[in-house]
Amino acid sequence: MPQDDLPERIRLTAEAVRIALGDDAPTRIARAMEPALARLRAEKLAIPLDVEPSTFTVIQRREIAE
Amino acid sequence: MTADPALLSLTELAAAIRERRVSSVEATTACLARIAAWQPHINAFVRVESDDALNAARAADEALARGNISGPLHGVPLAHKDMYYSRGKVAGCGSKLREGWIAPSTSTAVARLEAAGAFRVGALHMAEFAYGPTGHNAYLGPARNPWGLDRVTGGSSSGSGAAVAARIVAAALGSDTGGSIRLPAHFCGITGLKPTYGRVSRANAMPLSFTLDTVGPLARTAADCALIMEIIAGPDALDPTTIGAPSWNKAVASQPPQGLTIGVPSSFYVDDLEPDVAAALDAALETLAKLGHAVVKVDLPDQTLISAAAMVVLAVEAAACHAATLRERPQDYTAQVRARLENGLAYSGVEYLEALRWRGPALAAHLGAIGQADVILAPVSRAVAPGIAETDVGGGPNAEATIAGLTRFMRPLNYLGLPVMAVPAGQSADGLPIGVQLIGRPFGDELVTALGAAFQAVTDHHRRAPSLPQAGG
Repeated sequence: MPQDDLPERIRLTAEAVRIALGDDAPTRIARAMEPALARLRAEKLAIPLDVEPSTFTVIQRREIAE
Repeated sequence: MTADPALLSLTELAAAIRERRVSSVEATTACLARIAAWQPHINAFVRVESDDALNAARAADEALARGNISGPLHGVPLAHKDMYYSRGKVAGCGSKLREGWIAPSTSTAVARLEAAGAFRVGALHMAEFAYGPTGHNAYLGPARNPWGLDRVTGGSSSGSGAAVAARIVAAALGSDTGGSIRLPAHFCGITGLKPTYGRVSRANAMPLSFTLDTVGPLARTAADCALIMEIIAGPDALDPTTIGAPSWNKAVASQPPQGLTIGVPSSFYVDDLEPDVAAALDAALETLAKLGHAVVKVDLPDQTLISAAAMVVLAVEAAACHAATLRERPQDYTAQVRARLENGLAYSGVEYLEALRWRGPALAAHLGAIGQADVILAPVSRAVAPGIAETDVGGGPNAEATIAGLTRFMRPLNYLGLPVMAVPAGQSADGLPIGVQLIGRPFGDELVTALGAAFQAVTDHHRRAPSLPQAGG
């Protein structure tokens, strides 16, 4: 399901980080990027509380630990 | 004495110079002659540094005459994507924003190659800030594929792909954040290695996405990639992601692997392939089986989900890297790259960090799914190199979809941080190259390289070379 307020959220984010966008840019960006968000939302990822970005490195390096 | 040093592979050229069968000056002169012949057709170089290169070549020959050898690449002329900093030299990064920008330091990868005896003859074309997969660059003009001048090279390491394919240089550094080494290798008929994330230092190379960026070689053969990796891989205090990473294991990389288990994905990587690409993939699998490796089907986790997470990470990190210049000089980006950078504003901090936190569990799920498989075989792309016009801005309503379709088999592997070698594996009916991906386990860079070399020992796709177009062609 499309996130109807995404263009407005993009406009506000751009304003907050002081990046000037063209008038039609929020709608264009939302159209391009919404599918990735929708895919992640649909999956309802339940990431355990103690997982952090560097957990990746721990798992990656198990391959060379032995 | 070799007729044309430019036609030697990196391994052969380095040996020929070391054994004084070819001088560094001869090699460099041949390289410069091929630049003069090819550059008007393919736009592979953004700068040529003839005088500096010839001076370095003369110094290398003189040192060799005195019995001094710098290292395994003594006297070898190379060129790299114009995002590798060399102290005191321009690093343009494919953008007007870096016009005349002088690098204050040298990238670790280049410094290691120079310490091994190599020097550069110039700098190579790239997508603006490495943010484009085709080889288009509205600021520099497009790079053109030596196999068909109306075709894209692939990007973002566009000049690296074109220059190595045209036998201008024997090898070049590229970078790979979402396929930028593998797609030029596939489209241009050469070999490329996207290393394990954290295996090669990214220090003093232009960043695009801290989480996904990797530094690696494009060359004619897997053995040539191994030679580069032996020099550039391993820990570097300037890049924390490499701390604790192993140095290159030459013994593993140089031995034909025996009795591997090759996994073949049952979906996603086999969907919607052009018939020529599917045929090349089948033939590659048959070759690997004939080499004595077992073949098993693997059901990989949903790659569209991994791609979505990768897209969030890439978009936000690229936007963050460029936030200051997006505020101050937005007009100096080309329209397409500015639009891509602005895409990062679509995601919140929580969404970004969720995508990043999921990376570990996603890798664990991948490793669980492949079981004991050593290498996964997959196509690089669903198609051969498309036309420059059809994939350009304004190239029609399907341009973006065409581009997305070309790159979808690569991005998940950056998110998972896996090593991948792209090797030539066939050609289309109209003679355009086709490559396949040999996807390893984390830090299995040497094994995929050894398998690539074994594959190339019994195939000749990597030996095909494009012909210099006729004048005006």
